[in-house]
Amino acid sequence: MTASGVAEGSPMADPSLVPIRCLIVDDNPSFLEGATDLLKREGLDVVGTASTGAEAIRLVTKLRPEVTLVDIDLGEEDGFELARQLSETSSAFTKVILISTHSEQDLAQLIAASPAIGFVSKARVSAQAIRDRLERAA
Amino acid sequence: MKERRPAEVEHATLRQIGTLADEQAALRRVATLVARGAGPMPVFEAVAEEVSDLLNTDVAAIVRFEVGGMATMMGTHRARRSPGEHFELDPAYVVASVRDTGEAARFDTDDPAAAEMPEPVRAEGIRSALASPIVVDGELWGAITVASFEGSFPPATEQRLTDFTELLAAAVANTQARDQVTTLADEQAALRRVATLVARDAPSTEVFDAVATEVGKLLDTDITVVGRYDADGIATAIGNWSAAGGGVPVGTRSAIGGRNVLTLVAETGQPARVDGYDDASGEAAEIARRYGWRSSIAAPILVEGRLWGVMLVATQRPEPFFTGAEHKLAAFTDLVATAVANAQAHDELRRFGDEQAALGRVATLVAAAGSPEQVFGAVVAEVSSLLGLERIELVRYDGDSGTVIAATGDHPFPAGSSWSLEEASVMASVARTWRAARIDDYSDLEGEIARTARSAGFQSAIGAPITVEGRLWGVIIAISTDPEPIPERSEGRLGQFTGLVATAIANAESRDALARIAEEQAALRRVATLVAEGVDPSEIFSAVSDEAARLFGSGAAVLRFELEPPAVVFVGISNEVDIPIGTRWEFEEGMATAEVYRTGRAARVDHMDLARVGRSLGVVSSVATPIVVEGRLWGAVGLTSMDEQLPSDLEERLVKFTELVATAIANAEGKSELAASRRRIVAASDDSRRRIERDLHDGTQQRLVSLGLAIRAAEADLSPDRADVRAQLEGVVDGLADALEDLQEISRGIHPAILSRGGLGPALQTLAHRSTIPVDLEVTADVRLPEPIEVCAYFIASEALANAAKHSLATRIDLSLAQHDGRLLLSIGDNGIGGADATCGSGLLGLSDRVEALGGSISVESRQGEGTQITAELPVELELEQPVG
Repeated sequence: MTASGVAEGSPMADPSLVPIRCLIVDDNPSFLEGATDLLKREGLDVVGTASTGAEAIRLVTKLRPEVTLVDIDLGEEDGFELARQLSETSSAFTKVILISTHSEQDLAQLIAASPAIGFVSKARVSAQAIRDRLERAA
Repeated sequence: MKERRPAEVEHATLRQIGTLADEQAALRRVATLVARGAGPMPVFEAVAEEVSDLLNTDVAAIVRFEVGGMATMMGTHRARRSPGEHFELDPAYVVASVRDTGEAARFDTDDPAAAEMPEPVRAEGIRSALASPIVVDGELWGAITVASFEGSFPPATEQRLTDFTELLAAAVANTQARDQVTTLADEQAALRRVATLVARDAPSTEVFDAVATEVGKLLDTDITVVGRYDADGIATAIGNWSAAGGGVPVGTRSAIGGRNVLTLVAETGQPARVDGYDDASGEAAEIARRYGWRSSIAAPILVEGRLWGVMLVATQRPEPFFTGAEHKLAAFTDLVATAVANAQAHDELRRFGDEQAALGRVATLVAAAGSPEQVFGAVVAEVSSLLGLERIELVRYDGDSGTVIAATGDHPFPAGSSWSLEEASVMASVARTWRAARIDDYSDLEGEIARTARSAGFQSAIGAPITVEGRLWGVIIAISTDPEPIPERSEGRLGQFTGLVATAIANAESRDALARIAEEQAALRRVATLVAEGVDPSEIFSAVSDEAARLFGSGAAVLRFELEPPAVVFVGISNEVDIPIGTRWEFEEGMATAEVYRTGRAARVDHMDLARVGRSLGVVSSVATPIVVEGRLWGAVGLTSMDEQLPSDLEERLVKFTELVATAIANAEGKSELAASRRRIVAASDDSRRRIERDLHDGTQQRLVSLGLAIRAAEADLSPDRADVRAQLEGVVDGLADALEDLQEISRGIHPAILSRGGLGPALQTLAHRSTIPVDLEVTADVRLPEPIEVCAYFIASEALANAAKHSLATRIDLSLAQHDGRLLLSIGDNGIGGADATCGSGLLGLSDRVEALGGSISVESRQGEGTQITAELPVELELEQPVG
């Protein structure tokens, strides 16, 4: 996966791409910082970050991002559970993508059973990966 | 003399011729008697009659002179005295004169030429009395006498008497001679008979009685006694004979002393006689009078010059023995002395032999390790036979009483009965003095034993002590109902048996002790085996109760103490105990277990001190010993008895059993504690693994992710002409991603995330998907289980799949998870080459430890060419703490 879109410079370079509005839910501050930074560079509009399920729900309700990245290991909380909640309350306007440092394989069953539209490994998180998942789910 | 006329002369001559003829006829008649061998008495009778007839007297008598101024009436005609009568010769009698002078004598009232008739005689009315001497073999034997109440005897009467006296003398001499010959022959025959008995080894009693009989017949007497002089101034009758009663029983003892033949012989060593017991004295005289003796003679029995005993002959007849009878007796006695002594020696030998044989029989029993009961029975039987006494007892001392252990004969102290040692008795004397004792007379003794003895007819008893290893164990008692006391050597003979009995008891006690020890050891071993096998403590409690009850003969139980409120709970009972396990009794006074609880030491409660609850069950004696587990008082082992007091060493013997129980409890507690701690370790390790995984995830993995993001961010900022740097950075990002995957791999090995999130079902699915060999998965258990169990099952499956992938060459694996009856069943089977060794590949071995720690089991079957089948079974619940009992 190359940062091919980066050659044009900014993520805003491609006018056909409306920046996807994205909320990142993770309990790890450095990931939130790094991911926010990277995704922005890659042309996503990170509208906010949350560290807890409650915060996530509040922000999703308020900001209505198109995609919400939910960390499976949300501290004491369960990302799958949050995904389920979000799908119940906000599936009209947001899609959930599960993220984790665990490999997709390891959690395949649970991911498949989840209302989330897909999974992205945190190590491979990228705007393209997110766009791919959204297209597949559309 | 007057002159007579011829007719008168003719008449007188005729008369003289007639008289002569009569005389001759009379003499001839008497002579015929003598020739025919008639005994003296009939001859005397005949002579008295003929003389009386011939001389026309009122009274005729033949008198034999005896010693000491006495005489015996031998033949009479109308005399005042009867034949055989023994009387003192009054000097007034003409016969006395004959005795004094040896010449014929006459007393006459009217004839002045004759001696004056003494007044006493004249007072009787006798006018004339005449006596002529009878001389036999040159010795003055006696006299013939005639008396008349009317006139004087003619002068020639003495002369005419002389013919008769000569005939009489001849008759007497013949008789005496014949007598002597007869006597000699008789004596020889008698001696031969006695000698035969001795040679035949007849018992001495038979010999003595035979001797007594022969003597009695020889001397023509009523009563004979053979006596032995014993050491302590006592004489004992050892043989007897009597014509018609009046004999002294064998065994009669008499002290020597006083004036009697027994004493006379003892003191002088010479023959002696006593005629008439009026002024006789001493115990022997008392006995003589008691048996109606009128006179007696005795001769010493000398053996090798020593005064050994006495041959005594007595009569109840009024007339004493003939003169010289004691010498005749002495002569015969000398003949038999040796035989008697020999017989006695034989007897001693035989008795010694009998004793030795009896002792030998008993010793054999002892050596053959017969039970003490057998030895006791044999001893009383042998003693009874040896002493010739029916009633023998063997008594064991038990504190302040004696218990009869064995007995023969019919008497009121049977085996099993117990008697107080406070009362007068042989048993009590021996107990007090530790020496042999005897009672010769129960009549003055007080107490129940003496009363019982008297009413059973006991006359005397002896006892010899039995000491075992220095302590007084008991006594053998021999009882006699004979009036005569038991011979004094009997205590000694009894004593020979007590030694053997003591050995038997000591042996048996050791054997008993050994047997008991062996039994106890066997019981302890059985219980210890159970403990080592780690069976459930309740089984141990039950086993200990049963063994204790069997060994110590009572009901037994194992009880646990509880604290609030203080009570015991029955956790083990023996068969006889009718209390259900789990029954709880609060402590009461009189419960042995309450004492144990209070003092921490063994306790015993008997009889009336027992608590109501114990007594209501019929308990008469109870003992309890503490069970101490690792320093704390856990409970007690209790024993009860319904019939008798429990042995006093019971507490000591129980100790080993209670120690075993304590060990079992400690083991069980330890084991279950161990198992619980293993489970805790497993759980803790699972916990820490999860934490490690968490840390990896939250820490290192996140950092790697963040690093990657940062580098990609940096990459984005690179100018296009820095393709080389871009390539480097991308390399780093890949490297980081690889590192992350490595960590994920590691995490999976430590604690797969999906297991804690999704449970076994999803986790096994994941495993199945990742497996290189196709897995046919069937999961029917869908409940979440405690973490250690899920982890364990997951890793078994994971290891099994990994092994199959590495070694099996299988094309298919069947993996199934099911739940049944509270157990989780995991099964993994492949169709590979099999031959897997369950022990190599420490993966499964480590897992089997874990499985067992959780209380599960795992089995591996892998026969060559038949694939591998792994089956694991785990509980669905987990207890991390486990109490005991």
